[in-house]
Amino acid sequence: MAKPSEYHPLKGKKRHLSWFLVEEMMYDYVIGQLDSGRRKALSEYLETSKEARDLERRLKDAIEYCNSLSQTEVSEPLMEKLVKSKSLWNRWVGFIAWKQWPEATRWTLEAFAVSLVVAFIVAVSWPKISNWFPERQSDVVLAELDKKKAEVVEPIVATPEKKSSEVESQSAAITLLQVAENSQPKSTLSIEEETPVVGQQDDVVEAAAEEVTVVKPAVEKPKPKGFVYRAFMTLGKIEEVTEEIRLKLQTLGGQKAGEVRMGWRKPKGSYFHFSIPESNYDTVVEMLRSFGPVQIAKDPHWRVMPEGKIRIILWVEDMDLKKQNL
Amino acid sequence: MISEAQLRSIALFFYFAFQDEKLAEQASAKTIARIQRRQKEQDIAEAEMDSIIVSITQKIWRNHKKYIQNTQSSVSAEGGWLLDKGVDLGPWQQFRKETVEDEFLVLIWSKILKMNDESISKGLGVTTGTIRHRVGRALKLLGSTVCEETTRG
Repeated sequence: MAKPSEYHPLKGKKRHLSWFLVEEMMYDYVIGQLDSGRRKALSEYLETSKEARDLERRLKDAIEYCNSLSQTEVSEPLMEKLVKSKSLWNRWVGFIAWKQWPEATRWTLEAFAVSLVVAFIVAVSWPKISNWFPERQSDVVLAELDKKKAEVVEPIVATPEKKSSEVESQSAAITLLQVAENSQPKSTLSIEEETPVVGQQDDVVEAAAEEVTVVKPAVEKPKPKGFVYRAFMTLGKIEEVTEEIRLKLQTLGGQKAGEVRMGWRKPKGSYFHFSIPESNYDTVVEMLRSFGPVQIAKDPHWRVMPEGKIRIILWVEDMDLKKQNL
Repeated sequence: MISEAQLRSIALFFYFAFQDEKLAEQASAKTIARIQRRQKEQDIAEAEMDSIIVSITQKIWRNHKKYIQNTQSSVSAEGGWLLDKGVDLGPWQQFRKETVEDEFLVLIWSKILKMNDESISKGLGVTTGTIRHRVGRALKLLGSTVCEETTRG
């Protein structure tokens, strides 16, 4: 609503006031802030309109009522109370005189307080935060290695066609086999150059049948069901002796039981791996004793020979070479 | 420094706005503290005090109006506010229920605290025409309640 000084004086014909304008101007009319032209128009309107007069009376009554309310006094005790009243925070701040502290000290304490809050928030929400990071397995899984497993050496067939250098290069593997045989009589895995015999297949089938019903662990050692005779001799003139023993074993029904032929020559001796009829066992032993002393041991072995057959591993050490080394 | 008249204005504003003596006391204390803090921070001219009082009392009112328990008043004769003899708060309380916030606040500043329209408009950030329009509407409604109470009486 414009100020009275801003009102433009009415010009021209007398305008008829609408009720809307009457309502808008009535307040200014009551407080005496209407220009003369509009005041006159409104006065004339009031003479003819009861509704306008009621409106005027209501405004005057309200203003009078507000005047009576404005006479309300505020007691002195209340005034003092209001002036001296301080909030708990303001009282505490005033007590510690925070603003009088050195600026560096204030900054340090504020930084410390912020870091405490951050640390508390991180600590409380750490279980959720830790899920954002990829899991790192603290456990390092090494390759599983059965220490009791001996190295499996591929069977090497010593044939006459092979060059001596090749045979010698393979001697280290054979030596390993011999050492393993001597030191681990109960090794569960065969380290010899063996080929499965016919009779073993039945055992394999029986073992498989057993495995159907019995749950075995992954690296289970096969239980020795068969046996092998291990014989040891030390003889001179190794070449002659080797050939002679080989021929006599053949006459007694001896057959090679591994990959190499009977009497396979090695740098330090001769190696015999053969099978014979069980009935000729004593004859074979007597034959060997005719060459010299012989040590024989019977060891359990997983390889099971066919019924009526036995297996013998004979090592004839070169005595001449042994004496030379001494 | 706040003058005694300004202190009284602040107290009366919240008394008539809240019609709750405890709430009025708390709001008045906060308003006084805030004005004193502002006076320390910057030099306020006496002519600007009314507009500052309008601005700050409006803010405090908005922060505290949620604590009004109910529409009925909590005033007593033992309070620190001393009404003029024969004055009835009935019409005012009825008026508070029926009017809108903007109109009855402006009425308090304009007609009870006797502040001029320019100070009120500056404190609220509106034109004087808006102030006068709101006052006119508030008076019209207040007049109706006063007439009704008078008729009943």
